[in-house]
Amino acid sequence: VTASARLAAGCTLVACVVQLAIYQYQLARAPVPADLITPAQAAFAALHVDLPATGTVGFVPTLADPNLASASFFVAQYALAPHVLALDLDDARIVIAGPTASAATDADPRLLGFTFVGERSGGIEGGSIRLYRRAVQ
Amino acid sequence: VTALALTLPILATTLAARRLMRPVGWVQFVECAAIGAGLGIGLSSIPFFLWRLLELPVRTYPIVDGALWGVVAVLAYDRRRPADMAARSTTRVATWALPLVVTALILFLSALVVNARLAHVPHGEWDAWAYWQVRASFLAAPEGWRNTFRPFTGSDYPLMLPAAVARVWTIAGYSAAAPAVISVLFTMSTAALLIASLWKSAPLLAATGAGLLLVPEFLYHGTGQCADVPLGFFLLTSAVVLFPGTTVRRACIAGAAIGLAAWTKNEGLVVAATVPAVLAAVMWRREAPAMARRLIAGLLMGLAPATIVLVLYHVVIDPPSDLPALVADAGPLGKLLDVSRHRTIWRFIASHTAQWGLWALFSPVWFVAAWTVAGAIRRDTSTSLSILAARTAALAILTGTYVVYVLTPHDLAWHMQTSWTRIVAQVWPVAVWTSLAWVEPIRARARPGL
Repeated sequence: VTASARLAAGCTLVACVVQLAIYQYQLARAPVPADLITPAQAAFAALHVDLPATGTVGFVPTLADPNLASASFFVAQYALAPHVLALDLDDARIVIAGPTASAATDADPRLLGFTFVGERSGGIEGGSIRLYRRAVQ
Repeated sequence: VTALALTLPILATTLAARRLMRPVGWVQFVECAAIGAGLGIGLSSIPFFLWRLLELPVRTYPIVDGALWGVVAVLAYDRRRPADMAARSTTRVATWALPLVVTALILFLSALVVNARLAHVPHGEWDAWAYWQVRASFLAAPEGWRNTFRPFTGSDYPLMLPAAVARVWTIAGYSAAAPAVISVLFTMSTAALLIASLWKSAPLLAATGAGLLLVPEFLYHGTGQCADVPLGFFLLTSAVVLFPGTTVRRACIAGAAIGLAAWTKNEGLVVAATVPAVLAAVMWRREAPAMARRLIAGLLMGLAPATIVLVLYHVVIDPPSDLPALVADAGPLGKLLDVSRHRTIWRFIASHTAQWGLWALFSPVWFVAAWTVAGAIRRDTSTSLSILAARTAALAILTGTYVVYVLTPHDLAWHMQTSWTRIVAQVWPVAVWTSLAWVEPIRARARPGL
């Protein structure tokens, strides 16, 4: 390796090591965020036994933040595959609401036409996951 | 059990790579092991997917899988001791001692970063658990696994990563650690492959390559558990295995890596459509017809497994994709002719590429650019087939991404913000490698061992 290449490699290496060390230091000092996925996933997975073998399962996210609501849908789908979840409740005979549902969720306008069936604790933020069935007309 | 489920295909593929590449010295053996690790995980997804496609009972798959990879390992095992494996290095200690220490320091810091990142995101980034792992959980389900192909965002994505994860879950049971371990294995295999490849030329360049590859943003994506770093690994393998010279067996490994790139992400499809054609054309032009035919046959033989499974995937499953209809509805011609749209994309790409890397002060992209420019001034043709493969792959991905940005039916700013850093991560390994591989190609041939 020529002297100029050695010099360039030395400069590159110093920059790389210093920057990696800075990033590692920042990451080590940053507080570890609470893992919301694992408990929510476990809570949703417990619903496997309550769901019918076939058919679309409706999902009503109960988190106010739209990003978190969207995240809760994907976590529920992750936990409940191969059941197919849908935010559109038109084809759903059964609906899951969570992961922060409570008795007040029953009044959610999206659940009009569905009746409360049961709930499982273990949602996040002290809430639960509630199950609804389409009311017989 | 997760580790055991991964070990067998990795061992079998490493033995196959050792047999095909015939490593000389420990550095080349590390290269084989790195290739074996990534290709092993990638190839293990293929029989699992075929098993599911045939609707065979998933409970019996662990036995079949164990038998399959056991047989491959036995067949691939070469009893001959690799030449000069224990040969003493003729290089002075001073040449490699300091680079070895610096490389070890970079790997140690990287391990700390990986450990901290996995504590922060044990399930990976949003796309990992919202898309890739969801698909894996469908593929691992005893019944109803085809439900994953309902119309949904990205339902036409290839299945290497979810099938590899689902295979491990089928054998070892569900564990959030499985996708994390696979993700880290791909990241570290990429690093090992790049370091070993450059070490053959000059240890100092290998240390430099390690530093430039393992920048915070690459480790960020490497622990994010998405398919971008695995894709980057396959692109790097397809180039590195042809360095410094090409044989039929090495062309076969390059073909396998290109095929697996296509089985990993749709960006890989663009690579599979361009790189083999370019390589075949160059081989045809440079070699005698008989040799060229053998090299091209080797390349195609390597491409075959992933190509066959991809064709089956698209013919038998025919996963729904709403993108063509969405693009047609959104007026593609108007977008193509919209100058302000092109300007917006170029500005975004320029500014975000110049910031890529998560360094505190400036971007490592500038270092790679500087090394690349230096290489362009002093080009050596002996490495050009491998560098050509790497640059064609990178160019294909970047061009394809640009076209997607122009035509995207989604909000352009959102689309670019959520994808560009990952696209850079895909091409980062080949960018770093090509920026350094030109420096000492002649010594690589003269001194293949450590």
